[in-house]
Amino acid sequence: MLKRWFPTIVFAVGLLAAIITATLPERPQFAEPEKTAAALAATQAAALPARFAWSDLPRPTPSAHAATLAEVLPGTRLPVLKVEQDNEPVHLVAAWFGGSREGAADVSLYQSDWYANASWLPAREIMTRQHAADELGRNIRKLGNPLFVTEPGRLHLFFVSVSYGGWAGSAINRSTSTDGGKSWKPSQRIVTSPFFNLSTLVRNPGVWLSDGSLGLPVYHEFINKHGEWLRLDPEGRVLAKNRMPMPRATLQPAVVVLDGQRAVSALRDAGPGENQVQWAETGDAGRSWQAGSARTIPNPNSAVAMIGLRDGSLLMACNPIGGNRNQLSLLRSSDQGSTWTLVRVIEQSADDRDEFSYPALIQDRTGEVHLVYTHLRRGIRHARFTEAWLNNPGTPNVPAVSP
Amino acid sequence: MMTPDNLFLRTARLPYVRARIYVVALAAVMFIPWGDLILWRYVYGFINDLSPTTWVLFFVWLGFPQGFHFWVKEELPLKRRLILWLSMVGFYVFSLGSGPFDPYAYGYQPWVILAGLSAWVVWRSRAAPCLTVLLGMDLAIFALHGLSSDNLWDYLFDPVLMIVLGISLIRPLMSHRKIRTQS
Repeated sequence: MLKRWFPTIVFAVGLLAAIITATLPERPQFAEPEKTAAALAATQAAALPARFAWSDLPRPTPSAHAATLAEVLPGTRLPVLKVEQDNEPVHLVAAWFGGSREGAADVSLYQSDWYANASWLPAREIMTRQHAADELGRNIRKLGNPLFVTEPGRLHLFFVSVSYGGWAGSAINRSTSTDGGKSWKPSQRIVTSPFFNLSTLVRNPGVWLSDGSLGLPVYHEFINKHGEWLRLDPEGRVLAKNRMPMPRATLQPAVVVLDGQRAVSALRDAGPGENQVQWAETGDAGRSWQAGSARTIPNPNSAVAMIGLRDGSLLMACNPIGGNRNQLSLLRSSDQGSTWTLVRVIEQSADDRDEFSYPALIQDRTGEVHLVYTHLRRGIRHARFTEAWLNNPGTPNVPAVSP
Repeated sequence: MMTPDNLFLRTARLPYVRARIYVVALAAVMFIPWGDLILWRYVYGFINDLSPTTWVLFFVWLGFPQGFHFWVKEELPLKRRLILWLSMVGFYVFSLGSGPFDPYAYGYQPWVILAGLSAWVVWRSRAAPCLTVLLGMDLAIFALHGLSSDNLWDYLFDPVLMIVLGISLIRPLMSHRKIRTQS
C-alpha cells in the first residue's frame, strides 16, 4: 500500500513545501513621497539660484565608460522614501568601468565619492575581474555596466559580468553596502534567463515599490534586443519578470514614475534605419508594459537617462542627433513625456569621433541636479545645475561646458 | 586463467562500463587547476546551475545503468521523449523571443506550473512513479532554494538536459525511420 502511494506522497510533500515557501508579493504599487514632503522639496528645489558647474572625476585608467550615480541617503531602510532630514552635506557616489579599453581583461569597476562643495575623492577599484570570479565561483571574462540604486541606509550595486562571448552573454550581479559605499558585501548572481542565464544587462536605476521591493529596468541582447522589468525583494530575490515588447530592437530602459500605478520608459533605439528615442508605458506598476509611439528625438543607438524633477517635469539627457554621439543635450517635457523641448546642450564637438555619452541623472535631496557622462571614452565628467538654470536656458544650442 | 588485469580490461571493454569510465575520468579532469581556477569553474561559468532533474538522472545513469534503461523504457518511451524535447525547444524559443509571451516569467510566481504538475501527477503518477518522485524532489529543492535561481523552471530542466535529450533521440529516430523505410 505504502509502496503504491510512495511516489504520490513524495510529490505531495514537495508540492506542499513549494506552496508554503513560495512568495506571494503584494499587488505592485510605486512608492510615492508624502505630499507635504514632496511639496516642500519642490519649493526648496525651485528656490535654488540658477547655477551650473562641471568637473572631471578621477581618471585612474586610460579608458572609462558607463558611469552610474547615486546619492547616499541617511536613515534606515524602511519605510522607503523616508529620508532623515539632516545637515550633512550631500554625498554622491559614482561608479564606472575602466581599463585599457572596453571589454579588456584589465577592466575593473571604480568608485569615487563627492561631498557638496568639495572635489571628487580619488577613485577606488571596487571590483576586479578576479575578485568577481572568486565571489561568483566561476570564470569572468570581462566586467561591464555598474548601476547604483539607493535607499535610506543602504546602497545596491548591480553590475554586468560576462563569462563567455560578447555583451550578449552578460549576466547581472548584485552587492550591497550599508556604510555609504565604503565596503561592499560579496556579490551574488541574479538568475534572469533560462538559457545558461544569458543576456541580462543593467544600465538605468530602478524605482521602489510601496512594499519595499525594487522595480529594476534591465535589457536583453541575445538573439533579440528588448527591455525587461524585474521586481526584486529587499534581499535581491526575483519576484517577477515582465517583458517590454516593442516593435523595434530596444535597449536600456530608463523609467520615471508618474503616480502609484503609472510609469513611462524611454529606451535606446537599437533597430535599423532612422533611430529615435523609443517609448513604453505601464498603467499597473510594471506588471505589463505597452509600446508607445517613438518620441521625435533622434537617437544614434545611444543610452538615454531620464528623471522626474521636483517641479513635475521630466528631464532627459541624451545624444539627440543622428549618427553619432558628439553632442550631449538636456531635453525637458512638461506633459509627462508626450512632447520634448531641447533646453541645454551640455557638450558638443564638430568631430564625429568624439563621444559624450552614457548619461546618468539624479536630483539630490537639496534639489540640485547632477549629470555624469562618458567624456571622450577617456574619463567621466560631472555636471551639476539647478532647475532655475534649466528654466532660463539662454541659447540652448551653445554648449554649457566650454571646450 | 583470468588474471585481475585481464578481468579489469574485459570489464572496461563492456560498452556501458566504458562510457562510465570516460565520464568519471572527465569529472576528475574538472578538478585540475587552470590559471587561478579549477577547470570546473570555467565549465560552470558557461552552464551555470544544472537542474536537480539533470543531476538525479546523471547519477542514476552512472550508478544504476540497467535500472536507468528500464525506467526510460517504461516511463519515457520514444514518443514521450520526443514530445518532451520539442516542448523544451519551444519553451526556450519563446523565453528568448521578443514577443509578449514569456513562459519563463511564470516560473517566478509558479502557481500555474504547480497546478499543471499536480494535474499531471493525478493523471499519470501510477504509470510514471519514478517521474513523480523526481518532480517531488525538484519541488522540495525549489522550496529549499537549493539553486541560485528563484524560478521553478530552472529546477525542472535546463539547456544541458535539452541537448542531451536531443542527442539521445537521434539514434532511435534514425532506426525508427530505417524500419519504416524497410517495411
